[in-house]
Amino acid sequence: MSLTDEQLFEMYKTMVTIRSFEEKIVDLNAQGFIPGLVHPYIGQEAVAVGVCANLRKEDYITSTHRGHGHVIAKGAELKYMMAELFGKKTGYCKGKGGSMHISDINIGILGAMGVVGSGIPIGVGAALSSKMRKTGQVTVCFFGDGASNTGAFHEGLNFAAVHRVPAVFICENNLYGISVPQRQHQAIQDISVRATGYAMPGITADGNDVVAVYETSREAIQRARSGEGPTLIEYKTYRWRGHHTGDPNQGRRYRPLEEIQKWMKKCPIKRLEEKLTEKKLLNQAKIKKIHEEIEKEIEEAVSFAKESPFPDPQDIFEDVYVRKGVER
Amino acid sequence: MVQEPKIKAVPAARWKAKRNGIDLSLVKGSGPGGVILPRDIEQAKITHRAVESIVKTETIRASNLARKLAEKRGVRLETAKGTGTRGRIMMHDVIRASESPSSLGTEGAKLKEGPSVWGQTFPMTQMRKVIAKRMAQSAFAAPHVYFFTDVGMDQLVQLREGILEDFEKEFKTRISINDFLIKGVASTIREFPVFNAMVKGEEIFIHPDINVGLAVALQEGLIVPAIPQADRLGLGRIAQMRADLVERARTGKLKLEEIERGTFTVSSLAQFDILFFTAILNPPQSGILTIGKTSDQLYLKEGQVATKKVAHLGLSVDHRIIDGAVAAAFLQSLKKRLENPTSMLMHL
Amino acid sequence: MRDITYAQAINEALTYNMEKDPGVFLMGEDIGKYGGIFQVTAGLIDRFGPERVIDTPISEAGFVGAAVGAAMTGMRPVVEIMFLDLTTCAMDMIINQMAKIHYMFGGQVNVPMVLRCPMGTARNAATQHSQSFHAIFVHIPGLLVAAPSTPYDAKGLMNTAILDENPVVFVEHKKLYASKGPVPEEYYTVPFGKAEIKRPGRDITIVATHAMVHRSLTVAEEFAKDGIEIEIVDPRTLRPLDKETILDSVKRTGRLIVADEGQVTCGVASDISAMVAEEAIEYLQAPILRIGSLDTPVPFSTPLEKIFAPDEENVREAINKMKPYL
Repeated sequence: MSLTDEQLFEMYKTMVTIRSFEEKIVDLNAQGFIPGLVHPYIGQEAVAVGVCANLRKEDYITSTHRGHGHVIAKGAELKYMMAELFGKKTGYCKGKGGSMHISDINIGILGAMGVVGSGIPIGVGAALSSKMRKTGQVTVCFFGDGASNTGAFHEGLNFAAVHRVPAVFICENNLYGISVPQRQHQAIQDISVRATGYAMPGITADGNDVVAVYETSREAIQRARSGEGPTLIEYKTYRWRGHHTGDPNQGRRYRPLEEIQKWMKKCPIKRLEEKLTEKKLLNQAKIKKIHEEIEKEIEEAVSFAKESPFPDPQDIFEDVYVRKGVER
Repeated sequence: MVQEPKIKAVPAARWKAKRNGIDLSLVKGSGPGGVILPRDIEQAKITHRAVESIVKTETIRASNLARKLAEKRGVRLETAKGTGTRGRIMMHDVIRASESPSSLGTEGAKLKEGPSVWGQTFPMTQMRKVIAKRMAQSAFAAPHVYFFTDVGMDQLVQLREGILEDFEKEFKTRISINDFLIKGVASTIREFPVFNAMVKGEEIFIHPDINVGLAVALQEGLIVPAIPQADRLGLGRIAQMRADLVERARTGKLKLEEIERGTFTVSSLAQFDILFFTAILNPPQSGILTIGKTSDQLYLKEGQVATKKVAHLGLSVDHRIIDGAVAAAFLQSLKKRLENPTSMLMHL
Repeated sequence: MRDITYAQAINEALTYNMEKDPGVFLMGEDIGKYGGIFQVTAGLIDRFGPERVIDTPISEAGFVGAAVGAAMTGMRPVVEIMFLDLTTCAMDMIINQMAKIHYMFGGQVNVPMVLRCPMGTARNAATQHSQSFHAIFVHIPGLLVAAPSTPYDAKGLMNTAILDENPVVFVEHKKLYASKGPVPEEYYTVPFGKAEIKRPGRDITIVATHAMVHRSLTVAEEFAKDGIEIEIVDPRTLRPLDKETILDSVKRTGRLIVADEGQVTCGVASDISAMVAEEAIEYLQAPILRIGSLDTPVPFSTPLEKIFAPDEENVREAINKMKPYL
């Protein structure tokens, strides 16, 4: 089933939103408004958007330290995300989580996990739970090439396969685990081959082609939803910036300039833009308008975050435990 | 290098000392390594607040309700300003005083501590009046004569250490030197009946039972409960009775009969640095035995320096009925018993 | 009231809750047909089926993580880790995920799961199957830690643990599984944060956990004959800890011994001692004594294993040390 123009348009807008949001927060991080380090998703937008376009509101996703893209694609609100990044009380996690732990349970975002790979077993658990509750919910676990080597990955996939849980494992292979290139951290080239170790289908696809992402993940999500079990999909993609905002010069310490430039030419947003322009759905003016609207939305989010209060000192003790019933 | 604290005391003892105005440097610790325990503070309360123990506390006029409330809230009465008739402290005065932090903390002492007893006159408590009267009577009625001897304590100390654990297992009490003393005294009195005598005008009455009393120091004064027929009891029984009587003396649960039945008294200051001392007879008794601390004495043994443990016994007797030779013989016999405790145990 | 074993008591609690709430399910290694290596889950697979009594692959991180995910999405898993020692294989899931998710997501989601694991030195199980480092979990904010010493407490605490919305590490003692005690047939709960005075006394307080409770009780009877009355306080849950009962006891007796089977260094006994020293210093009439395992890995050889773990002899020794302060 091919995508409608409407859907393509939406996906374009979401990708631009992600790109602009990430660029903005890199800026804000440098200015000191966003403390700590952020891990920009810039360059990988097609994966999050293509996959999440297939998901329902009640489907679950688990995300990672590089998760803003997933979360925005799943439907999170920019202002609450921004406030959380600022560490303000009004953020999704009341300022307690920060960039690496954004979550919105109401729209199925089970949270971003900061420990590489740890979202996988948790996602498997959510899938197991929806199977037991017979709700038809699907869980998508996002993770990177680095995570595919962790024990959590292997234990999670094995468990998922044995119990045929409704999960889809999306590996964003951006060719580097922080500074270590893939060829140095694993003996295989296509991570999808690991699927055979777990008797589940494994697919490799172009992660910078949002339509390809959409179509491949759609199949896997339907498989899961109909009770046929999990799938492992590997999307080849690339991050334009360094690992995080403390990694100087777009990661040039360990990545050659030519490689970065090569991938930037394959920009997923540009590619969709070209496609839509061909179909006469976009033109320069429309593109400009979309960018302006998104800029405005982001500015509003920034204002919201700037005006929001920090948590009060006594809030530090809130939510360590669920207060109901047990005296602390 | 960190200096050792000069005074070692467990926290509860420190707090107790503070609240009772006791100077820790004056207290001897009975815990391991000489650490001061709360019971040592209790003891110190008796010895270091001697003035306060013997005088009337009613110099502070207060209603009963005020006193009760003051005690409940830990308020020192003298910090409350009395608004009743003639400065009497009423309940609301205590309430007001309890709001000020300086009024709290001192249990027991109802007078100002330390320097403020100086230059003041106080009436004696009822009990102290009685004690004073009897002391004076005894001192003036019975002519006292005093005798001293030293006793080698090594055998006794060793014997005690040897049987301590089994004794405790069987009799549920830790045997003390005083128990041996009581037994020794009782056996010696059997040899010398005159020490169980009471003077009645121109007659003397020899009491049929040898009831040896042990002097116990309380805050209000000395009290002497007696172990009945001590000559006929085994050490185990003596130790048990001694422990029970001392406990009840301290908690005020003695029966009058248990005090009045005494025919001879033993008094110990062995826990203090007292070599020997003289004591006033406990009327109508005719003899009282004292014991001071046991210390190590050096002596020459075959040209080599050796140590032995020595304690001094004191004996005061009523000279109207006991002469020097008799007293000397008594002491000598007792000394022999204590220096050869195993032989003493042969004649139960 | 009938006497049943500690293992049976937990089994009863699991049965009851699984019957009442279809969201309660079990995961663990060999808990199905085998009934769990300590037989705690015996018979449950027959009653509730393999979908609710899941025999997992050997992948602690995997299935503890799955339990976290399931707990976040409406289920109430009770996970068994065969030995406390093996929680190390799932430490990220326990410490970074299970304990933290509720807090770091701003209270958006609860993780109502129970993680059961036995500690305690027993039967030459050796270095990697006999440890008692449950103190590690007491140290982590966000976790609750239960430590039952009797079958009665085990059933009651498990009932409370399953209902609680917080993640609970339920620390059992492998030597106590076969111990028997009176347990009501009907449903009841033992609240968290409420210690029990297993034996009242006026001279010395012993705060003891797990098997140390029983060992202290035995020794207390011996000393009672000498007129020394020992009070034994069983905290029952280590987090939350019933500070009030412990402090009240020490205020009455003035003397404290804390006995836990973990090592003394940075262990449960040390933390309780420090708390008491901080909050009741003026009541202490003696130094606080701590009893625990020796600061060595658990040795295999029987005579070594015997001296490694604290037993009645250690309790006796501590009380004798305290006697001069009485």
